[in-house]
Amino acid sequence: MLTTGDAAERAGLTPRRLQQLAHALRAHGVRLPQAPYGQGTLWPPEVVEALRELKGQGLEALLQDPRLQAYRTAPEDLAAALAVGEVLEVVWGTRHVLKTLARNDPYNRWGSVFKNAFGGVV
Amino acid sequence: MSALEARLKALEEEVARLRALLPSPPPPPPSPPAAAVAITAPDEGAEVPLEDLVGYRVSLRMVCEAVALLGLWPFRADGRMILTRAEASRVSGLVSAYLNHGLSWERALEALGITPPPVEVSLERLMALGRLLRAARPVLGEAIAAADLPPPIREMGRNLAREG
Repeated sequence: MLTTGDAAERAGLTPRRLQQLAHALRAHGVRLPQAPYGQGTLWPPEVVEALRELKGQGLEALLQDPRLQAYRTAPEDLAAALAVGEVLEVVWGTRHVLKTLARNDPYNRWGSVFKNAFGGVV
Repeated sequence: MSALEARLKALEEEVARLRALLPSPPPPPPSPPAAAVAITAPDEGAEVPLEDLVGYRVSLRMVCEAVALLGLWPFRADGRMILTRAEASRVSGLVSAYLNHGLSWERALEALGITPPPVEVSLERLMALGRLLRAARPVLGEAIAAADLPPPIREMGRNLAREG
């Protein structure tokens, strides 16, 4: 395990940037090991390697990297359910747009979409 | 009656007389109207659309995530997206737990003793929602093509409908 200073040196980033990254990763459910209180984050070498390789790419790329998956805390069932929630929001938005475009929806377009997808069965 | 008691009685009478001379305290200010009552949705109808649960601190995303975590399926046979009143109160309970536990679903679920639906169920729902979105694509394209929008956007709609 590396301290933030050592990890920053190895990854070619500033320690401050690495601290910000630790916050961002934590917000996305990646819990890196913590040193005793007040001594900051401990960086596993494989995570530092991933940081170095993916430097300059989006946070998404880092979050998808298999080397970080071991530190993900969100259990699979929770993550899957949250993904369903996000798609549910997209479906709500699509339905809303359809209804708005069709002004009160005289042709019940969403109804036909629903029938196409589910054959009228829920 | 001893002299001391007589003195005490005299003092009490004096205090009572002085207190009566004091101006009466101003009446307490009227209590503000109960804000919580004013902003809750009117309690009528057995069904609640998802958007009715959205508020100043509650986004649609949170509502949808809570719906999914509780394993609810807010679709009706005619395509409406609604919850029953009992379901809606469970959803708002979970959302408020989420707000009160530092925006962590994990801790909110733990506090309420709820377990999210199993992964297989969630995957099945994801597939169903994907089917729904795929069916919506051409229809959305047609609606955009027929809407009162600038020609380039209508053209995009036509393309969307064609590619479907």
